[in-house]
Amino acid sequence: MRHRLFSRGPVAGLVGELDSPDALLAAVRALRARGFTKLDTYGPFPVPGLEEALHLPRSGLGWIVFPIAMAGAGAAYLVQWWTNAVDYPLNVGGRPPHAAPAFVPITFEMGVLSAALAALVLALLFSGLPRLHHPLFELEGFERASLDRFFVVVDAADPAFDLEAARAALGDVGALRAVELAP
Amino acid sequence: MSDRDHDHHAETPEFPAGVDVAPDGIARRTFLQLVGASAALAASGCAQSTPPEMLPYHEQPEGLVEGVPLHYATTLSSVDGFGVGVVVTTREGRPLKVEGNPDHPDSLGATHAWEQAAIWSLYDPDRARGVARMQGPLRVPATWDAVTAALTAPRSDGGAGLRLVMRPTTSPLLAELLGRALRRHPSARVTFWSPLAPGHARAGARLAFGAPLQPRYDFGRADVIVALDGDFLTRGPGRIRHQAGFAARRRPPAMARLYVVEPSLTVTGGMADHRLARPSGQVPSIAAELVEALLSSSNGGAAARGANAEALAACARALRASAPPDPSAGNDPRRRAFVAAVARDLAAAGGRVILYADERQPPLVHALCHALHAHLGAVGETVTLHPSPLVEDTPAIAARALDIKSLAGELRGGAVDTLLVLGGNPAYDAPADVGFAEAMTHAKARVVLSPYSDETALASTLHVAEAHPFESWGDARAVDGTVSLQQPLLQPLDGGHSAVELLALLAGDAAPRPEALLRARHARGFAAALQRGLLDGTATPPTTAAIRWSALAATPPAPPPVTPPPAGLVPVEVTLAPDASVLDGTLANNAWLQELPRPFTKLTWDNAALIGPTTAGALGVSTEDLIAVTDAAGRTVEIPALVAPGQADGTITIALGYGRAVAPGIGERTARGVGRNAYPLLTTTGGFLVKHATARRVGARHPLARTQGHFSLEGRAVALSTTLSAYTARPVVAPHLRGPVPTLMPDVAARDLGGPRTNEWAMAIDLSTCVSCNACTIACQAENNTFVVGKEGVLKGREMHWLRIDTYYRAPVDTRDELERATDEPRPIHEPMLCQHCEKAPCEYVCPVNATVHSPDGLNEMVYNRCVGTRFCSNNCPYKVRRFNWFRWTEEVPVNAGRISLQQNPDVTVRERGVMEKCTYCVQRIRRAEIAARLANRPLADLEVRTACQQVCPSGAITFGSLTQKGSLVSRAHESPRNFSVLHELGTRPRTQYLARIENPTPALPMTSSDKGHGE
Amino acid sequence: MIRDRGEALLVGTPSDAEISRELIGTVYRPRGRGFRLLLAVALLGTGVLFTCITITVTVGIGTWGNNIPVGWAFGIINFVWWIGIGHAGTFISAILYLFEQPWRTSINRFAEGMTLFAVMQAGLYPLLHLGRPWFAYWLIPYPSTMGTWPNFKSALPWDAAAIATYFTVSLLFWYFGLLPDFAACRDQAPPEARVRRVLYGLLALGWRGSAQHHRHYRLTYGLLAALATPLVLSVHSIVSTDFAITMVPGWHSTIFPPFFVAGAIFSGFAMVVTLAVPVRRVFGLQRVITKRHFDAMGKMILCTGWIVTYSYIVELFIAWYSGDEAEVYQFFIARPFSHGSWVWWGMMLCNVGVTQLFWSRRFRTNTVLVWFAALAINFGMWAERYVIIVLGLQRDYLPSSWGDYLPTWVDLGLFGGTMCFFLLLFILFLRYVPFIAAWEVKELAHELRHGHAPTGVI
Repeated sequence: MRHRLFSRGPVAGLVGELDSPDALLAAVRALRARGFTKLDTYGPFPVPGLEEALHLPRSGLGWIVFPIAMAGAGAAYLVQWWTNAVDYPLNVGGRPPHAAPAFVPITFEMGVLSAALAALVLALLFSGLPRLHHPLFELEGFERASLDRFFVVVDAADPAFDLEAARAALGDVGALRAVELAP
Repeated sequence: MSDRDHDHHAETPEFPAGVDVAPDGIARRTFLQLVGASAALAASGCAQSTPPEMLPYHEQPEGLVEGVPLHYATTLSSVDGFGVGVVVTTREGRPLKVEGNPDHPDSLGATHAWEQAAIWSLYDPDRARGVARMQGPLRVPATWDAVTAALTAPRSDGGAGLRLVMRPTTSPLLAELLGRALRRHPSARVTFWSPLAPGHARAGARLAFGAPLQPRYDFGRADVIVALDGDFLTRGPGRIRHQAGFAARRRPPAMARLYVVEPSLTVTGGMADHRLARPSGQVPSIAAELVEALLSSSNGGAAARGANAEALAACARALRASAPPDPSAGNDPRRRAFVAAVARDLAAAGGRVILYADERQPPLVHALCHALHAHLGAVGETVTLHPSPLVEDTPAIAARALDIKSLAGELRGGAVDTLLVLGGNPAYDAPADVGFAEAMTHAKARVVLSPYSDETALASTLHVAEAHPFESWGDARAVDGTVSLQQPLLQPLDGGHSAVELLALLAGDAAPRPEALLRARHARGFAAALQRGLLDGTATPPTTAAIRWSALAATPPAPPPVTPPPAGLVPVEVTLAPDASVLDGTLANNAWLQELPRPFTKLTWDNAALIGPTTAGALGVSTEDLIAVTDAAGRTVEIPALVAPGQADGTITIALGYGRAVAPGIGERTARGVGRNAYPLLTTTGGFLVKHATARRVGARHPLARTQGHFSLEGRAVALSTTLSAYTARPVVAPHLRGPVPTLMPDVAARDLGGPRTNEWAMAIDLSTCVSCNACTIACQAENNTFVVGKEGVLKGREMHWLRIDTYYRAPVDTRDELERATDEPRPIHEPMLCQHCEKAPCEYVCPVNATVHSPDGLNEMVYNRCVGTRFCSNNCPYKVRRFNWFRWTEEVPVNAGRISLQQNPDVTVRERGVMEKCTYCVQRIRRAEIAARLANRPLADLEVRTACQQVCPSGAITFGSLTQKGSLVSRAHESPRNFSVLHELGTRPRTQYLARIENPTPALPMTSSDKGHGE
Repeated sequence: MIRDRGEALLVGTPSDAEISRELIGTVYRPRGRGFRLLLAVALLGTGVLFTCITITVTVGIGTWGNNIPVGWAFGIINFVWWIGIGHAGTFISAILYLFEQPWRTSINRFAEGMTLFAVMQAGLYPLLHLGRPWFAYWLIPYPSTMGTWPNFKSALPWDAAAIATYFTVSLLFWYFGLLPDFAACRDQAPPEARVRRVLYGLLALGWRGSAQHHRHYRLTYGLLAALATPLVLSVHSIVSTDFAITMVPGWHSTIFPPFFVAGAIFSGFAMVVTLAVPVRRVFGLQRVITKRHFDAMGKMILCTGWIVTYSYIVELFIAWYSGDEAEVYQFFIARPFSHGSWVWWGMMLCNVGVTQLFWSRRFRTNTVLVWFAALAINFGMWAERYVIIVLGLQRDYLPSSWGDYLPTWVDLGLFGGTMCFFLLLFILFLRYVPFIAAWEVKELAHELRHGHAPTGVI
């Protein structure tokens, strides 16, 4: 799911820069307290408790990966069974052509492989990646989001969005600065 | 080749002109034209001539269909001059494979390794070509006219200055031509020379009968066999028939008993029920003791034939006197017990006995054997006596014969201006005290006929390349005198010529035509003989010559040669022996034979000084240490030692035929640098027995390439043996090594997978009769296009033989380096090991690409084209019978490339680099037989399919057939109480199964602890 | 000084900026002479490797020392050895992640790198040891003109699947973990390094560290870890079946899978130590890779080492208990006394003897001693594979077919070559990739600061 930031309006949103994960956490809590719901944060590492503060649901990725894994494993077993026991059965060392135990390893490996590939691809899709450019990159100093600074963005699309209120809120939680984002 | 040669051939219209084009780089197409034409000749019995110009098959030659093999009966002469009848398979005119001629009395359908290897010599790229004048080591091509001129020119001196050297031969044609030649040159003399000529045997016969009679043994009728330093299974006239007869009496219940006294393990010694390892020099005195024991024994029949007793006693005395003083004789309980047991058995056998001695023994021992045969009533029972078929024994020629030492003397004396050497290589293999190489240079003209630019050829002035037996006309006699014909199967690849042609020239025939000469010699039934291979009714009836007892009684004791060994050196008795592969060196350039593992030592591409453990200890040498062996006259040979079980203490055995001094470039490339030359130790006086020699350690080492490095059974039941008494007491030898193996897995057979219900191929190998003569190994190689890998390859453990003969020593030995601890009673057992075609093949289920799978008729198939070469199958093969193509062998070992590829069997895929290969049960033969049966719309008969190894085996030790055919020999063999599977406990269910070896020791001799063998 | 229990995991209280400078900055540091020298050596060795590969493929597998009966030798030994080494990486990053071992953070990244490069080396051998390497693809089930298929009863297709999966998953896991740090490299690029900035930007896929990203990121990372964990156990188990499914004395044994896995992790940790010690010194990372880490890895080595030792004992017991003469001979005579038995003694000395040194905490935390011990263990584990494969094949059922093995210079060239190739890849990795997970260290620092670090039992 792509999250809609900076959708429309004269001001796309308000960015607050903070200098510590704790400040970020505080800011998010404060903003939510003020009724802002369309929030997103940026930082060098996942801050514990942040997702709860943002009321983000748990990722449902696993529910899609599991069936894919099963499908991969099943396909692997079918291929082995069909090639060795159905399409071209041979007397190989007097062993049964359909030798279930011998087919287990490849079945397992293919299951894992398909699961891993699915997980990665889905994770990127869900996060809207790859996306090589993003308006936030225009923001002066935003590069520190991957280093040591934390940013919180109040989306203008937020029904409760009010520039001044947001600015005030950010000021209260001790944001270093609050910058408006041009659309 | 020059035009003049073409002219020569134009004079022999049965040969198309232009056929003797230079073979190297010969276009395959051209070659096929040549051989095609000659095949056409052979097919039509060579009765009519063919048009002079060469053309491809624009019309089908009579009797030739592409893809259908043709078989021709012909003859191969052994080094001792006796003929072995063979049948040669040709494809599109290319001789591919040699089989024995069932009609021939000395082949009986089987051959030995040498006959099999003849096919390699035919295509040997190193063979000399055409006629050449020798200028030093340089061969300047000359023309046939030069030979004609040299030999036909009338001589003023009546041949006083003309001397001939020939190999021993039994050929009636050569006898006739030689007679004519000698009549034309009344003063000429002829010398018959081969180091392997049966000189002592004939001398012994003279002593006994006054004439060099040829004994013919029937081992099938003998109950007691005593080999006095004599290897009758692989040596001497009639060896193949000997083996067949012997094998017939190694199967229970009616088993013969074999006693062997010998210094070093021979194929015969390996089969002995009781073997006494003693120096050759002691054998005469042992023989003497035997005689005395016989005469003194109550039922020795001495009373009955008292007249002979005195003569026998005299012989014994003479032998004692001639033998060297033997201190150990007195306190040698084993020897005494052995002699007593032999005497008792001989006396009790009622004439069904054979005593056999070999060339190392003095004539008197041979004479004694004859005498004992007569004394014990064996003559007519197991031994018949025939007039010697050897040409040199025909009176007219015997009168003109000259021994090689006198010949050398004459040469040095300058009395000889023309020396004609018809085959053989005296410059290399004449005794050291003859110094022939130097002597022959005194003759002005030296015409040499030899297949290679060997030592003698290089010392010649005119060298004529000798044609291969498959390229020339001839004949030879069997032991019983039966004449068999030798017919050409293709044109001489190298424009070679035969002794027949040269002798004819010498006899004054300016344009000899061998075929015409042969036809004239055997006018009656010639065409039939070409088909059958031998002339009926040519066998000579046995003579009833009596022993000249008085003469024997008067035998003067020859004084023993006493030469005290130099102090400080270890005294040894050196026994020389023809090599198991290359014999006297004649076959040294044969790559198949060079790579054939010698019996017991499993040595390839080398010869070595076999030396007993005790003596090795005294010398402080171990295997691969170089030692210097010096005889009394100070002649020294440096050679690597090989510590050999079963070698008598104080003896060293060295194989002849190696260390060939061949010229670089034109000589025998395969033989060059292989092994050490032992001929310097061979003398006219001592012969093969070099007494009072000394040996010392040199210090250097020399790697020996052996195909087997570990000879102990490690107490594992893989090669079973037991005694006749134990066997009769409890028939089933090894109940725990046969029958079904409990398994949890479902039983899956090929036909369960929809394969057709057909035969179930299987094999049985009888360990009782396998003597490890190696014929099967090389027959398999010839049949299945197996490459040689050279010494380097063998050293790396990469030999390609599909069938190997494992030899184990059953005597208890040390686990890690058993050879150092081996006793002189190693009690060997041989086990041919090839793909076992397991029903639950371990090699198959580990192959990732299904390259080795099971066929519906029970073959373990190797799909070369599918193989990616993981070698997983070989790792998992408990029998280690799979062979891998580590290289493209034609590149890595050049001798595999070039002309020898013409020998390759078109029915067998030539394997690429990087793929696995192994025994296929000769699937090509199976399919060919099946197709034939289907065309004839009849079921396959038992024994209709015969594998190459089965067909060649003189012992008939290998049985092959289908288990689904009721009562087939193989299914009966699998039912035999002696039957067992190797590594049965692994549950591989091998289709190749074995029959335990049964031995027949006398209760009179104590058994060693290990005599019990397995399966009891 | 922040501690959880015992030794510090992180020395000092580095700010996120410091951590970034220290860990991300390595990417932009100027190359020193030492680096160039090392690079030259690595390139040279890699040249040797590819020369030997060319010879093997053009002349033939005969240029190796293999023979009948020793059909497998250096090729498979090195294959198993490298695969084994590859195991610690995934073990550290996946299993320890699931067990929330905080001490993994500073070493997991280059342990993963090590895994990848080791598996790449390993992958070479199964191809090269084929008689006809150009047909290796026949192990893949594809509809061929002849209608033939691979035989899935053989362990080799299992191998192929396992190795392929293991490599792919490790690669994904490694790359996925790198995303935030690639982003950091992108954002931290000095003005002059525009090209690399763009490259890192591409590799980062536009990562912004948004909460939305992290939400899926954390789960996926955990998921990959959960998937990689059974892989670690399965891959070497499957490799071990190359031997266990046969009937070769010394191979035919049900103990092999756990035995091999333990050995793999054993050698893997040894290799991590072998690499971590110099890296730590060269890049001055004493405060990130602390004694505590060596202490922990030492304990892992000791533990896995004992599993290996136990396996040796069980092997001997079972051989004796089976009463199978071939097995008994293999274990009690062939290995300790026959041709090449010195390798067996070396194996015992290194894997059983040296391991016991790790009982001492003072030894575990002495980086120099530990480094030499790790080297010994690396050899010991190579020796173990030699013992199993070569000594096993040299003496099997029929005494007549027993044979000995000696490697050729091509064998040695290939082995040394892969080591240099590994070195090459590894130093390039150290040079151009943040080899310590900066974002995880920051997270760790944050957690330690707040004292709610997951204190897993070590």
